[in-house]
Amino acid sequence: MFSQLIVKKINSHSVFLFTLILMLVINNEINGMEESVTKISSFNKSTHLINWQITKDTKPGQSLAAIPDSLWQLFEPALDDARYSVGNWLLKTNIIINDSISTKEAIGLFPLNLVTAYEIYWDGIKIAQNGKIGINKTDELAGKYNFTIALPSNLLKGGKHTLIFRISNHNYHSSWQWFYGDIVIGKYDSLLKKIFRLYYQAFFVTGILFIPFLFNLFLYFARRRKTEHLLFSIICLIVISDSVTMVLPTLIDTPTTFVYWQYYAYQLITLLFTVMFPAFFIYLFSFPKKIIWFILVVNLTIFLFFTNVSNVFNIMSLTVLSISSLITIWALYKWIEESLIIFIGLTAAWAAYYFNIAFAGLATTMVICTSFSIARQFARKETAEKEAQLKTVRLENELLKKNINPHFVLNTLTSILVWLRKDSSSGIRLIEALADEFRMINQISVLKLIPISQEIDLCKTHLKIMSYRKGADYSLETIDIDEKDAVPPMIFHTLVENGLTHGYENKTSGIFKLKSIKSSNAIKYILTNDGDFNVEDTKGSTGFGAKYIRSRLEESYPGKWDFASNKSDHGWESTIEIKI
Amino acid sequence: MRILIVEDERPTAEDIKILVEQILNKEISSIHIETTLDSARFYLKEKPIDVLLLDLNLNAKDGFDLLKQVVSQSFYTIVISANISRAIEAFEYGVLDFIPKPYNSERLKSAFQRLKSSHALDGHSMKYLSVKKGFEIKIIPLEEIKYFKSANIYIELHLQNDHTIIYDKSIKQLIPLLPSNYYRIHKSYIVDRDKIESLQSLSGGKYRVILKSGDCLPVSRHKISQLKNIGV
Repeated sequence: MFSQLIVKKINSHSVFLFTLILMLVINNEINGMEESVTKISSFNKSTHLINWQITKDTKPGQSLAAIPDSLWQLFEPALDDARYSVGNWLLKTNIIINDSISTKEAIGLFPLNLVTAYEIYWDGIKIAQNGKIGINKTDELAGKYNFTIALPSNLLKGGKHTLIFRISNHNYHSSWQWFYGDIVIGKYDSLLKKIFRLYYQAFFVTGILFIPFLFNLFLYFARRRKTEHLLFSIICLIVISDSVTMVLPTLIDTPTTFVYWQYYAYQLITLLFTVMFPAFFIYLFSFPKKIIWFILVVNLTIFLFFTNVSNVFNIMSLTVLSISSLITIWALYKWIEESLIIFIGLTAAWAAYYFNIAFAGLATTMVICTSFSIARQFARKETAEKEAQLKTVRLENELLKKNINPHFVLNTLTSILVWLRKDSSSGIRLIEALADEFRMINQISVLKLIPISQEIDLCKTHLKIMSYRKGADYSLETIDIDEKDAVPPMIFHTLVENGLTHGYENKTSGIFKLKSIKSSNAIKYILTNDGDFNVEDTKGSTGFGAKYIRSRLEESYPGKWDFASNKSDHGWESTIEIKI
Repeated sequence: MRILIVEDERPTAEDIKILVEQILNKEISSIHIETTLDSARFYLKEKPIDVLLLDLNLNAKDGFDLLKQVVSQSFYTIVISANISRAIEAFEYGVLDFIPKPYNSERLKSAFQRLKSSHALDGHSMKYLSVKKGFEIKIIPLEEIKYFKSANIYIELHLQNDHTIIYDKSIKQLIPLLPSNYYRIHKSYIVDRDKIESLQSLSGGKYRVILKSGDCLPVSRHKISQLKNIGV
């Protein structure tokens, strides 16, 4: 979509976008004339009127015939046209119409230079008026932005004719030069068709971009404010504003002075675009963000010091394209996802820049490429998120299975029956401990982090249950534990469980110790026990329980944890370090 | 009867001991508890037993390895475990019964009654025989055995490949583990009904069966009518 903007701005010999595009389209149809008159041998082609003469209109009321020929001077590049930016002046050109010409179709005159107001004279006869000529701002009345006239057919005889524009430009003074040569003569309906074809393209682009604009805006708010969506949305909005600025005169009655606002709108749009577009690429490819400021400075420097009215779009387009291409090439080099499709889109944009053609088609290419890429990234991220969710669910499931697994339950129930037969009060206490453990697991099963005090309670309850089951006496001591700390659920529980299973086959008592050591940038937990472990059990840090612990730590502290589990002199020692 | 209970939870083991003592009462000559696999192995090496009550999951160690070893020995194994998902497998390896946890006295009683059964319950019969060969345990599928021949307190397994292997159980001990299509046709022979080709009468009112493999086996006189009843 941005290629539209670029293409449009390439023909920057005119600041008027409207004129500019029209010129672009009819450029190849212009018959260049070196003579001092415009010769028209056929109206089948539009003719771009040239060889204008100019003079100041000192008394806008006086008859044209009263102006001596000596005052007219040729309008050429050397002319000091600053004199003609504000005030009243006259433009004259001669047209020779071939005798053989006869047309039944209406011939139109399309003045596209857009000064505030003007009157048109054909062989000294006033044939049209746009606005009202005046001698100052209040006196004159701005004409219509879109003004075209059909030349009266009785005037179009063969031979030499004189066309004079009486111009008044007080309200629409400007900081840029007034360019001549934006007046075209040709078949009325085909000229109109050419103009509106451009408008249709602008409508088309607006329509095309409106969907990604809204879509990305919604995505931005819906998807945890991912900046690339906002940027892409803004870029679409910028291009939409650009098109809307262009087509606005077709939608509402617009005076010629609207051009004044158009000019500033285009300036602003260009500036915004030159910043936003590279920024979008930076976010899209996760390029180092710092470079945005660098690009901003470069762009502003170029914008402020190296551009003028006639080349601003050209230079800024080139700047934007170059920066975006460099970022994309970097992304290609890094083999970042979607960089290839974006690269293809950018190549299309360069082609658009080079050929100055068919902006709508190329604009669409870029939109499709970018939307396609965003959609794919979206889908991929969705998949990744789903996987992460699934992983969390799996961990939850694992947590539940670890303790509410049928094996554990059935063995504990067996033990309850055993105790009820032998010593019913112990049996009741075992039931209570089991209920406690289940209640706690129910509370924590969906949490990613729980208070360490709860984890310790869970371990103690488990040790109580296992003490009854094994007819042993297991306990947990804590040292320097800050109760406010949070840990992933059941990681110490898993370690306690593993320790009990492997280290206490032949022991009827056991002491577990959990100690925390806080430093400025890390918390270290050390869990030790006094079990008997043989060499076969030293794979403790790679087993199933360890996998659960690692997954939990990675889920809550990605990349910022350390876990080790090894046989120690007096039993087993597990260390979990969480970096802050 | 000499009984060993292998159970890693001592209170449970003691509970089983009390219940078994109540069930068997005076039949028990010794009853002992071991709580670990290693100590159980050690005990089995030292002391002969008649029945092993085994938990399959001892301190998170898979009791199946031990199971494969013990079923090759000359005693019955009754599994008492919460891990019921492996009951079928345990039966296939030739355990006498599988009691799911939590167990009760009635269930234990019915298990001990099976000691005197003539064949295994439907679907709970052995499919393999575990045979000790040196230090190695060899698993032999039941269908590879042509017939069983008693050899004192052992059994000779006569295989399809004409090898003969000694199996460390008596014929009396094997009968309750075998599927119902296995018949004791003679005090020294057990054979699969499906492997019998024909029944042949010999002179002197003697009979013999001819197997599909070509082997000829003697038939006890009082087993003839039983064989005829099943259509041989």
